[in-house]
This record gives sequence, C-alpha cells and structure tokens, in this order.
Amino acid sequence: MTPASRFLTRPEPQTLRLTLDGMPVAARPGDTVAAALLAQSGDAFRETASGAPRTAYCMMGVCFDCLVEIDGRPNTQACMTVVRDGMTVRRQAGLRPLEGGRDD
Amino acid sequence: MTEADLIIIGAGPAGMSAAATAARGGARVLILDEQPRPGGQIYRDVGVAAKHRPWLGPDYAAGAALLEALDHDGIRIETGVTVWRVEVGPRVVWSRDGVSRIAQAPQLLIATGAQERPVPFPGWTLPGVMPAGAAQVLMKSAGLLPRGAVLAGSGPLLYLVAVQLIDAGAPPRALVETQRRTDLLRAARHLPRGLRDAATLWKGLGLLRRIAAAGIPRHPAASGFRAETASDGGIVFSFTSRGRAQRIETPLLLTHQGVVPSTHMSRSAGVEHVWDHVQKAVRPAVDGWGAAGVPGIHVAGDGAGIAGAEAARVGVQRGAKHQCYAEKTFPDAEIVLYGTQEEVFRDLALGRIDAQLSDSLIAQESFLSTEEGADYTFLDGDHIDVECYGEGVGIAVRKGDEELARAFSDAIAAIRENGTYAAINDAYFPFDIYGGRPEGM
Repeated sequence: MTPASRFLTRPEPQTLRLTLDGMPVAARPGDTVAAALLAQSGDAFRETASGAPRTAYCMMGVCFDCLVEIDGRPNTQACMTVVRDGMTVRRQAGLRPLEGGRDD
Repeated sequence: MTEADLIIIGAGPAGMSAAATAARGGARVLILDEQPRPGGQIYRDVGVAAKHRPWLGPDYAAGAALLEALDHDGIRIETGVTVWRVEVGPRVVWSRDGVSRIAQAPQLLIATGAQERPVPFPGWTLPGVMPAGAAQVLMKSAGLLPRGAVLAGSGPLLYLVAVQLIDAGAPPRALVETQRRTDLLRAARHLPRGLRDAATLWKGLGLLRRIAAAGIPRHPAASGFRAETASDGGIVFSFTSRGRAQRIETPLLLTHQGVVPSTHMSRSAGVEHVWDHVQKAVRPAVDGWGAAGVPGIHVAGDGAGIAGAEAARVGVQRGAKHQCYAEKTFPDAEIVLYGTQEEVFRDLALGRIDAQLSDSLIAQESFLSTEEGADYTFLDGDHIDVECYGEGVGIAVRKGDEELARAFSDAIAAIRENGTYAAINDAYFPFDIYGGRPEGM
C-alpha cells in the first residue's frame, strides 16, 4: 500500500507532468523533484544497500538521502533538482554503479 | 576563467548583504549558490513566496529587500551550481550541468550558513521523520504544509514553525520538548543570524501564547525518542515526558535541536576549525573581521558561528532572592541588577534586557497584564531552589495542632485532585500559581 502524502494538497495549479517508475506525477513549476514526490505520496524514495527505506531528509543538499535516478542519471539529489515537464524519475534500490572519470 | 574583485559562496542573508555592500563600494562581485534561487535557507524563495504565503510571517517577507539589493550592475549571480574546490589564490572551481568553470578574485567570502544539527534516535531515518527546518524549506519553496505533524526537540524554531502551521490552517498535533524550562532562555540566543530578530520575534509575537491559544498539547522534559512505522505508513512516535510513557501517531514527525555552522567549504579551503563550547559545534577560527587565517579568505554569517555567542541579558532586582537564583541558574547570561522591580520592567519594555526574573504574580500583575507587557510572555514557573528561595510558603497553625494542619493539607490535596484548584486558578491566572515542591519535600 502506498501511504498518503504527509503534506496537505496545494491550491496552486500543478501544470507539469513527470513520471515516477512509469506512474504519472503532477508538479508545480519551480518545484524540486523531492517536493513533487513528497506531495504525491508518503512513500520512500529509495532503499539503501541494506534495504532500509529512505526519503528526502534535509531538503537542502546536505544529507544525500533523496537520491533518485533522473532521466537515466543515477544518484541525483531530488531536493536540488528543479522539475521539468516530461522528466523520468526512478526509485533506486540498493547501490548504483559509480560513473564518471576518464572514460565517461 | 571569470575574474572578479570578490567571490561570495552562498546567497543567503550574509552573502546577499556582503554582495550589496561591496558592489555599492565599486567592487565587481560574483555570487555562487547551490540552490535554484537566491535567499539561502532563511529567506528561501522569498522573491516568489512572500506574497503568496503570508503565514510565513513578516520576518520572512523582510528578506525581499536583501534580494532586491542584488539587482546591481556590479553583481553577477550564478545559482544551481556546485562549488567543488577552493584553492589558494583564491581560485574557486564550480560546475553546473556537467560543465566546470574556474573563477578567480583577490578576495573570497565564504557565507555558506548553517545546517540543522542532525537528531539521531531509533527510527530517525524512516520516511515520515524529517527535521523541522526541512519542512520549513518545503513550506517556503513548494507551499507544502505538513499534515497533523508532531514537532519534537527544542528551541525557538519549533515554536516558530508551530505558529506558521497554525496560521496556515495546518496546526501541529503536539509539541514534544526536550528542554527543561531554564534552558529556554539560553536557546533563545542559539538562532540562525537571519532569525536574530527571533529573540524579539519570539517575544514580540508571543509564540508560546499563540500555541497555547490554539490548544496544541505540549509535552515538556521529554526524552527517549523512538519512531516506528505504523501499518498505514504513518509514524508511531513514543517518548517519555515527566516520567510517563507517551505514544502519538502522526503522518510526519518533525525534529529540531538547533543549527550548526556548515563547514564543508571552509574546511576544504584549509581554514583552521575549533570546537565551540557554547554552541556545541565545530566552527572556523576567524577574527572579529571574519578573516580566516588564509590569505584572501573570510567567513561571514552563520558559517562563522551561530549567533549564540552573544549572551542573553537577564534583569533582576538587586539583593533579592532572584539575584541569587539568576546567577546560579543562568551562568552564560549577563545578569543586570536593578534597585527596584519597576526599573526591571521598564528596561524590559525598552529592549535593554532580554528577560527578567521575578515572582510570577508580580510579573503578571505589574507587567504582563499591562499594555507595555502585551508583547511579552511568561516562560514558565517551576523554578525551585531551597538555597535561594527557601522551602516555599505555607499556612501557619498553632504549634502542635497537627489535626488542623492535616485538614488544610488534605483539603488542598483534594481540590488539586478534583480540579477545583485548577478551575479557580485558570479564572484568574494564565499560568499555574501552585508551583512545585523542593526535592524531598
């Protein structure tokens, strides 16, 4: 069961659309991905390597608990990324492979 | 590579003020900030949110002026960037959207502010547990209001968030406070600098009074926090308050134990750091001008130390029992002595002292219930100390007449028990005049 959002619904129109694991999510221009997901449900954003559920915590880029995959890019901070229409967001379960460096 | 006269990392209250001042003096300023929009955490999104979300209060809206001052030819602002290297020079390496850039200037100001002190306890990482400041970010930047939240921890920010939620029509379910009452005064000064006004704001808005008026239950002297996930995905929050086990269900548990300087940037710049005993946090070692001991690098704002360094000023009447108690109980405060109680109240009203200590009835009758005292509030009354205050007050009976003494004691106990005392008390006083008993009595 997906827990209801832990926040009240907003009166402002939500004109942007993104997807979370293929399911549609409405967002407001200027929202961060984390805010859009928190407004949608009370569910976890990801699971740690040991399977513990985590969601956005500090909302200011310090704790890295809100990591999600955005448009194919893993380990992206949902609280530091502003939504764009058509964004594809996926939850992460367990570790991601590290990317970057010389061959990237 | 970008050249400037001054690079500022952080577009919060300190960074914005510094940029405006430097630009007015003719300097070319480059501000770098990781958030999508300037304002920092205190004035997060003040440019767009202040008008639409009046419940955030006048102190938040006041940040708009700082933002407007950034509109100056000498100021270039880059947001949504990650600063990932600070070199001697000083040179700053930053990136955005996968592209790195280098900026250089003779002077670098680190104004990266504060972050919430993490509050670890069993269950603190569960979805549904979050710092109160993080919820405030969501309130400011996304208009998201916590639903039936429980606020737990200590400090004025908890009260501020509680009142903002009440004003927004989403009152919290309860306040669970870890501090003992005498800690409140000290906590008042451990605020982010941008909320410095909160010492006045705290008193000025009578936050505690408004929380009481909204009927929000408060659980004082709480400890033993534990959070578990309920079957509906909510949080079961258990704790002990005044020795009694409590359990509250809530969709969202918001915790807070004050803020600490954000030191990532100053540490990476090679600045020396020290442990601050008053703030109980690590902060950069800077002089009175914010110079950090590394050529060309200064630290300003909360990143250099939370405003707690300034001592609270507490007024008391000289020689009275309250001087004894104030000196003993508030070792970090500056105790200001007065000849008469009237002078104490006068200076409190004038803002020359932050708080005063006197008999609660005198405070109520001579100050709080008057027009001058309208913006002030009663912190709490359980100050018990045999050395300073003696064992309390009593009813005198003829020596040896234990039957009559017992009759009085039983009668008092009975009306305390059946609510008569509280009903009479509440009809006349906004606080409990019974007080407590010294240990062992």
